[in-house]
Amino acid sequence: MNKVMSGVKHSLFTCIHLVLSLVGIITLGATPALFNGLSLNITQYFQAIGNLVASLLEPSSLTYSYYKVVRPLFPEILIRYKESITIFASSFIISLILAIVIVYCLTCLDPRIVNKVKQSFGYLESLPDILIIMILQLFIVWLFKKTGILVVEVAAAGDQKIRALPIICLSIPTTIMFTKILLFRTEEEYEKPYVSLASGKGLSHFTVFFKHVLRNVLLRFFFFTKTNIWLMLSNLYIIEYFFNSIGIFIFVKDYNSIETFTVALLLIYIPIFIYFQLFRLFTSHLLKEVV
Amino acid sequence: MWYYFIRQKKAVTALLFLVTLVVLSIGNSVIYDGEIRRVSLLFDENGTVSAAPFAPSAKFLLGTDRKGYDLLHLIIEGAKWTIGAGLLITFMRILIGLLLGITLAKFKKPLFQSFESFFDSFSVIPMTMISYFVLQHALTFSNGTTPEPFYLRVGFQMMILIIFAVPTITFYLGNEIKLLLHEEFVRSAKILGGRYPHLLRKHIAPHLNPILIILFLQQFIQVLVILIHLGVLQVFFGGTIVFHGGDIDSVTHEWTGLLGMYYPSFMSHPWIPLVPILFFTLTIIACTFILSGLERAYLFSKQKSFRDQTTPIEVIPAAPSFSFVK
Repeated sequence: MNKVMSGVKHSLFTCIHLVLSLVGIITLGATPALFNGLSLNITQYFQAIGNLVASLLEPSSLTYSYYKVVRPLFPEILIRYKESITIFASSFIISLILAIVIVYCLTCLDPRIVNKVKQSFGYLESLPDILIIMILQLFIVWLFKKTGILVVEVAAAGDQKIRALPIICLSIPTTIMFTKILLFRTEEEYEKPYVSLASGKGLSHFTVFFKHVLRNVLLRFFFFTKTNIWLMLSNLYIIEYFFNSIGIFIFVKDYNSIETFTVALLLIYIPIFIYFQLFRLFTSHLLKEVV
Repeated sequence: MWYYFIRQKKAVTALLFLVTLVVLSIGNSVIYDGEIRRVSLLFDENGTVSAAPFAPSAKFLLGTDRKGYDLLHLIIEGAKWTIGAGLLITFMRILIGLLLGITLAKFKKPLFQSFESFFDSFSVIPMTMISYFVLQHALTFSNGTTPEPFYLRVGFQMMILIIFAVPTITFYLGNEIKLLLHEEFVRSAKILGGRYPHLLRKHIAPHLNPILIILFLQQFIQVLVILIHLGVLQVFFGGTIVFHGGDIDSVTHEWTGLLGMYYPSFMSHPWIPLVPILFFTLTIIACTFILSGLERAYLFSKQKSFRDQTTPIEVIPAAPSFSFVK
């Protein structure tokens, strides 16, 4: 009985949380109406919020316009959304795998070398993403000039889709970030007695890392991954712009109206919200010590 | 603390680098009235003419842009805007976030959580996206029209860049303070009659200071990255002038403008956008050095004062308390 009560309470809290965040997003989405040039206009703002809510309740009425050609928003924005998700998810997975491999290799090495590597990761992390993008583009063009092989497409033209280079560009800073975090958590984990027990029992380094340490590390990693998602999304925004790829961010940038912006915010926010709630639901008993 | 800071060579070099850049920049506008060296045509020994942009050479250390302006000079002129704005925005963000965080930490849990969920979307949605969406119309204007005055535009942009980051910082600091308030030493101080300001100053601040130092660095990098992103999206600091043919120009000579104007042509003249990016990177790395120096100095000075306060126990050589009977 007690458990059911707490379950009901929990879901109620989740609902309140969701509603509040949605209200937050709507008020955020309407902010351009708040500023008339550089001056404040409060009545216009509340009007805009009202209009926004009305049109959001009727999704089929949402439109976007381009040079006075008005088109319905809905199938189009989802196609763009899929493109962004593809790039985001693939580089998330690639970076995570790469980071795990790098961290495993580092745990095999001398701690002094690991310290050096950690320092250099700190510097690498402070490189702006645009520098990385530019250097990669220049490098590929240079390679093309030298050898005549175009390894990957450098930029998209028209409706063409390019994915390889955006994914690589997004993966580089992400891998650096992930490696840093995973390394930190792994070192924390290696202090714990169960690791010494496992290796004392004669389990190999490989088994200890992948079977015991990694699970705990990843659990925490996924629990605290919000900042990483935020950083990746803001890098994705600029990467989409650079490579002219047809993702949701460019869609919002090209056809910016209050409605498109808010719908895009909702599309980005809701899946992440659901992910965190589900994760919390299924793993909270494992993470008691953390929370 | 400064005594320890000065001993950190890396940090001092980095500090000198930034200070020189800003001082040169201010000097340039005071002494030369913001003039920038410009050479649009060059003749070599044979009398052949070459036109700007010139690649980096002994004459132009970092090359010139398409109008023949010396890039090194431009960078120096722009430094005060970019670095100054970055520092100011970061400082204001943290100050406001800290004040709000201190207030919020006293709130009851349900209220705190509802505030947190209201602003939850800020922790997921890219800053660049929001600020571009809001700033774009306010800051771009076409050539010939009379825009809002300069200081208003700069103020507006700074306000936007500050306000949209404040919620995240507030809740981060608020949560940290809440955690500290539940520590045992704080509770006992409370029982002994310490009020909230006293607790903050004496018990929480020492634990919060290192966090603030790291936060400052993170935020500064973030601000610079957002300025870069906005520059690439052609919203420059202080405003973008759009000319009739679609050409754009920045009002001040700050770095993002250079970047945004020339990045479309970076395949043919790669050095023009790479120079500002390089300086951005240098600034960020310099800040990393300075802050790690500060952190270490802070740590050392704490250790020192701790050592000063605790008088070492004098070890008296024990007199032989017993002797062998023989």
